[in-house]
Amino acid sequence: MLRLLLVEDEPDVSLVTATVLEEAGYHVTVASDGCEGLEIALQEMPELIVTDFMMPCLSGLEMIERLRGAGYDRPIILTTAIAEQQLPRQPGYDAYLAKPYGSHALLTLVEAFRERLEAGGH
Amino acid sequence: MIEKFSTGIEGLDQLTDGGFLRGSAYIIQGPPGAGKTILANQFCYAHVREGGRALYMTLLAESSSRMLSYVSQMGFFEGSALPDAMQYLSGYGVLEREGLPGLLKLVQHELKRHRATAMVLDGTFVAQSRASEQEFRAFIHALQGVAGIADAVLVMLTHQNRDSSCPEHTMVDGWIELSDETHGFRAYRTIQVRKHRGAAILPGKHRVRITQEGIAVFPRAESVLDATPAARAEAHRLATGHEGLDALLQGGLPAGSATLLMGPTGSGKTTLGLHFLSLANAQEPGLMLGFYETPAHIRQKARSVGLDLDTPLEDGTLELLWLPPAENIVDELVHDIVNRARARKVKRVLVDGLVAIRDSLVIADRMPYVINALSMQLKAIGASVVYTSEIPELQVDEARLPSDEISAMVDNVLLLNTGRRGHAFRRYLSVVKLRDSDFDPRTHEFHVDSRGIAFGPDPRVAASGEAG
Repeated sequence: MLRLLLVEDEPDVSLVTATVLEEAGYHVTVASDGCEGLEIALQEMPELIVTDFMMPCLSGLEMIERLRGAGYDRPIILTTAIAEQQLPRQPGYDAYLAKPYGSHALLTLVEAFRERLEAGGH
Repeated sequence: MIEKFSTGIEGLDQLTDGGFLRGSAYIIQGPPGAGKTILANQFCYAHVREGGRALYMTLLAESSSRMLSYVSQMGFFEGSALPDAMQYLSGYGVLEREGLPGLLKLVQHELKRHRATAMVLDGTFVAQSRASEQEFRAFIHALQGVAGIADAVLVMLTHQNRDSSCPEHTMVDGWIELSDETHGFRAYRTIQVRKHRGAAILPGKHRVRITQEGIAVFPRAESVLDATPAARAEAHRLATGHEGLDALLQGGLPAGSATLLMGPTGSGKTTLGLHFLSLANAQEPGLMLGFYETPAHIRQKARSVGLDLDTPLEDGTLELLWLPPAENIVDELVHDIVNRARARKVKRVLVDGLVAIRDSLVIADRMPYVINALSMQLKAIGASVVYTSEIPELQVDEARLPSDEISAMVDNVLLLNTGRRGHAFRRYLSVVKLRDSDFDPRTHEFHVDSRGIAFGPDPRVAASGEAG
């Protein structure tokens, strides 16, 4: 079962997203801000991270920067209501998912990374 | 002197004497849908445009992403401000897990992390519902302290209708209330600054409009009169566009005055107003606000009586504004007319149809004060204004002029009357009042032909032997 870390500060979004992913067969760990997400990610080394952008303590991009700096090289999906072209440069994430997202868009993207991981690629 | 941050809303800056005070805390209260979120976002983006940094924290369970996707459709939204100068965060989870102490710690940390100079806390009632009154009071006090140390403006949004004695209202520096009100079948929005320490506010309720561009606030026209400079005493006269009438008026209307043309329907009020406007030129630009006839209709009407509005319209010295007589915000009209007149240095203004203005007012008793405010503001910029006002009676008994509070508010009053003698419909003109001047008090019969208003009976009536 693919281990996935969800980093999201909005409890309702977090709950709904985690439920959708768990029902699709993923093992989901939840963090409620960027600091907690960084700590769990480095500790548990999940195969995939889905993270919000604007969060307390550390933003999604700050967390990604530190993760990449610490050698975490697995895929990261960034979710945000900000248009992708308005995001700062040097992103460090592998895919962008616009908020608010539906379960179909979320699962399609996560599935694509799962297939890639199972095929042995990043 | 404490620095002020613009609210991003011109009218609200007027109400608050310049905006929010740096390092101060404000409550914006109002029912759901009253515009609190839009107002707060508009403030944040205006603040960012001026070089500040803003943090918008929501305590609502509703996703801030949903709010952001809505706000991003508004005209004031500035995507490039995200996520550096403008940040959205949820405090709901922390409040759920750690209560008010955790939330306070989060606010403190995030204010510092983002170096925010403005912060919005949306859904303050959620925090209040999680604590006793005493704990909530301590939280507000601490929150003010945190914002004060950060030298940031703190704006708290709540939909709770708590009275003025509740702790948050007594502790904060400012309290603004947004309302959704109804009068008969009409719905309208208002804003009221209930408290603003250290600032001379414009008290009372003022109208609000919400569009895709955001919130617009229109201070009650009569409430800004104190800020209107006194008009200079103009000695010269302004020609009315009719030589005969100018002779009755000892040379024309006093420049920088307000004139009321009153009379029943069909008495020639608009036609006389068009005479006045037809003299618009580069030295005396003109502006007309009409409600019942479209600009195309007005141009046609002028042509039919030999008045040339086409030339000043084409060379830009005359502007025709038309608004259907619906539920207009009168204070917005006044603001718009004065701004347009100021921008083009207008000297001749015609407002055709005071009835439409009266009908747009939610509180009709405001009418004389609104007209006085409009006249004073126009006079202050050197413009003369002519109003037309319809009198319900078909024939006015001149011995008993209708009691109209407007006539007391204007400088000059001209009565256009109608009557029937024999089988002919006739029109009469009298000067009733002329500011500080003598005038010809006689009533003159007139008619309207292809050259406009002409004194004397209609030749067709004379030819039929009805003259007299």
